Amino acid sequence: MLRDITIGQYYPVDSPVHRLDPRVKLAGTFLFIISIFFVNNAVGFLLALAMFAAVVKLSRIPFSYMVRGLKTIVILLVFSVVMNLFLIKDGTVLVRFWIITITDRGVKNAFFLGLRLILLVLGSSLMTLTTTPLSLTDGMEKAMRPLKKIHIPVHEISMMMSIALRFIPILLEETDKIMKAQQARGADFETGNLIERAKAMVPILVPLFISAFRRADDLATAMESRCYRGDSGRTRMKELKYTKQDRIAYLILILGAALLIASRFLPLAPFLTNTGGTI
Amino acid sequence: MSIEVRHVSYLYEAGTPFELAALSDVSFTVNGGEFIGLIGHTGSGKSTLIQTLNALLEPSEGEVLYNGKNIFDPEQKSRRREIRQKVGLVFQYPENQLFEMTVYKDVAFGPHNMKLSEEEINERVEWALDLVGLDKQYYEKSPFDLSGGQKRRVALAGVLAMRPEVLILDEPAAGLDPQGRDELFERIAALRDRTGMAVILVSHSMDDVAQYVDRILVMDHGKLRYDDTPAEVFRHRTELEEMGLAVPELSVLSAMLRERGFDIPDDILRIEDMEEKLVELFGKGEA
Repeated sequence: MLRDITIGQYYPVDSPVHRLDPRVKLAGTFLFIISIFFVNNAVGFLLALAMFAAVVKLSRIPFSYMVRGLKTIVILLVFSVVMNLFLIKDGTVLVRFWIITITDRGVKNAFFLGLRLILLVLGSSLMTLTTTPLSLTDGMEKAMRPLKKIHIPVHEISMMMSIALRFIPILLEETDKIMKAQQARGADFETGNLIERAKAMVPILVPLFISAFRRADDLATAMESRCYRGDSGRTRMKELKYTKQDRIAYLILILGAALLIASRFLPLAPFLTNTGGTI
Repeated sequence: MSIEVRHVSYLYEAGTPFELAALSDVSFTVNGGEFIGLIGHTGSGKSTLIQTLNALLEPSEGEVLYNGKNIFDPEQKSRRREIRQKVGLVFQYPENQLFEMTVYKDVAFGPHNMKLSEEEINERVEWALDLVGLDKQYYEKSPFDLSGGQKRRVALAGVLAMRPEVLILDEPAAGLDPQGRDELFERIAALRDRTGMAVILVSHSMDDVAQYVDRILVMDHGKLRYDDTPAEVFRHRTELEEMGLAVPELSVLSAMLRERGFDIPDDILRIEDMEEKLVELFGKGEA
């Protein structure tokens, strides 16, 4: 069950997307997310879907594997779609039943919002799937370097990020192990009401916290014993350098984002556009 | 009591690039009261195998029968919890699962989950803590204040308190010093004699288990390679070494002596027996 979480996981295959400089992928993801918020009609969404599908194809990550990452946001997705569907009261009424009113605006809003959320999550998981946590934080550090001038501890932030990312799978594995150990002692996480289920988490959380603190402590000792002193005087084995492919990728990305934003200004029939601002 | 494992296979992360066959076509039977050693190199599938025995992992193929009934029967999900009580599993580093405020409460967690009466719980907790050698003065202590070895005994008591019919211990001696290890194994052997439960001892070291168990299962790359008495298994010295397993030092010694023409049996697994035999062969003075 815990193994289904694909957010933050790296998918080890070789592809043009995997080989890109992490800064390109960071910028790309950022641009994609922003453009998605600009898109407000069917053409724009089709365009975004097509672009995204093309990148996924290029990255050689099986589509089914990507979609598994959506499982974790199913509740959020259903919740926000349902909220939009039932709570938007303006527009033409399509269904009226008991206290439920569904309008065409509501349907449109719910549909576009759902799509937007899915694209956001898939977009950012594509970045982590194609980039190792290490090179991701490397890219982040280098991209944020100018901020050091105004005394933002860029190196420390990215080191914290990379440690956090590194520990996600370890802690998941640990949780899995502790859950099994408590299940072997007859613990039951699947039945009971909300309070009973919350109580059932205690036997997992206490050991998990203890082990997380112990690991953090061990890691700090290990880093100190190897003379880690933060950023000063630190060199890298692999310096990040842009290649021709990276420059081309930047061009394509900017072009794609421009297209997505431009789609907003297409003169389209009103039933294809979603002018409501509700998220 | 019997556990029957029939043609069990298990795939990790099927359909992803991380796919790994942890078990392939494993079959054997565990009978009541047996003392079994499950040996294999790291990654040979031991831990996966024992998790299928108490219904924590459902095999990709094959079935596991407890007293003739399939423990993964989809119609009978509640049976799995029942099985977990009958087949007690002590994980590696079990002290990492402790969570309660006091030793007593932690050991009571299992019986409590079985929805037993307070008196029954009390009786079982005292019984289990007595079995692992922790007396009343420990009951109200925080398990986190104990030493490593004591924590492990509390965790072991936590499983024993469910009165399992089979006790499976995954690397119970990992991280203990030689003295702690011997003490633990002696305790487990005594425990088995007292309760009559079947015990499966999982280890990567032949030396650990050889002198206690009456049957050894050897796992290698997800397959069950040997299932026999210790003496029989240790005859396959070269094959075992190829699997990255060393035969016990006493077996090596007797094999070397036999090669040099001495008449010495190959089933001596206890240091005391070996001493006696050597004295008999060479005489006290010369040795």
